[in-house]
Amino acid sequence: MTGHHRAAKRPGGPRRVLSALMAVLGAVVLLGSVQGTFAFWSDEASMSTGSLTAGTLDVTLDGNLAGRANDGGTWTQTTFALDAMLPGESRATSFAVRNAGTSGLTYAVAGSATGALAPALRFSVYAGGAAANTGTAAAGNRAGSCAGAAVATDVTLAAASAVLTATRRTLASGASEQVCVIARLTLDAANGMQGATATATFAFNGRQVGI
Amino acid sequence: MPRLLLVAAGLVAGTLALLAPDGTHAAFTDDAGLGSGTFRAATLATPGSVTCTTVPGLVNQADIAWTTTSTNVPHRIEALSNGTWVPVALVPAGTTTVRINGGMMGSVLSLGLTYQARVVAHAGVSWTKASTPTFSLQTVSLLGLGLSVNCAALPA
Repeated sequence: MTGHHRAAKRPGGPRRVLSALMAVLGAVVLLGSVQGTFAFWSDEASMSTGSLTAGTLDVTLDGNLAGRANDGGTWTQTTFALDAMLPGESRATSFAVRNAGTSGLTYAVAGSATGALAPALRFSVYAGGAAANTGTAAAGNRAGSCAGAAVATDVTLAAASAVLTATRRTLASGASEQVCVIARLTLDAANGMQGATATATFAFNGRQVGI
Repeated sequence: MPRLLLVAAGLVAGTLALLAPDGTHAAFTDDAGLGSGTFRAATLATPGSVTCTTVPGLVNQADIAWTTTSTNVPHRIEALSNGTWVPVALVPAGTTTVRINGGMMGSVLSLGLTYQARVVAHAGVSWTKASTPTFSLQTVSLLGLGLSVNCAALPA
């Protein structure tokens, strides 16, 4: 009795279900057709760079120590030496400091010296000038001199490197300048310095401009 | 108020630190070193084998000669005066003999005084190396003029 009553309450039930299914199907079809027929117009543009290359710094000394592989290297100028030095005698040398890199740089000069004679040696550095040496060992009057502007005068060098330039010097890419150095045995060198020896090293520390 | 000032100072310091180029900039560098040759001080050789001989026919003069390898430095003759060595004659580099007379010893009047003398190699104003042995000079002089001189080597 109850089941009959329910059946009477839902006359045409299957048709409603069918209608609902049809409606859903229609909606799906409708949605599908919308996606299938809508297109998006678009446009793209790309930009490629040229080659980006880092600049190079390359400090050379009379053409020596070129290239990145020689960064921090040392070139020994064997002619910058003097044997049988007497008090007051000196020796000068000059060489070209060049910026062989592609970027401008500034450089500072630092010096150090080792050996028992080092405390009695005085070093002077000049920029923009050449060296000249006169005198003879027999006369005990060998003297070195430099043209150019004094950068450091009568400096005693120790084993620890010390900066000699008060201000950094500038070299554009491809530019160079003469640097001259004098080593002099001071007049008041102690008697006990006889026969003593020393060597010196000068470091040219290049750094990019703008720093 | 002090706390506010501290905060403000901290903000300023922090901002400056952020803006400081050293803290934010890398720098390309390249170093090149110049090495010197060797600087060697001279070694003065000791004047050796010093001889002192009177000059025949010149009663007030004597020749002092020495052997040394320091021919490239000057030498001088020194006499011991009141405990101090004083130069009495200078000899240029390259020379290993000098002639002195009794008057060079510096006394206005010396009658038979004996001086102890030596040869010294010297360079500049400070480096010296004296000879051994020394030698003696016996002089007679008047008013700075040597009248006679005798010399003899002293034991080392």
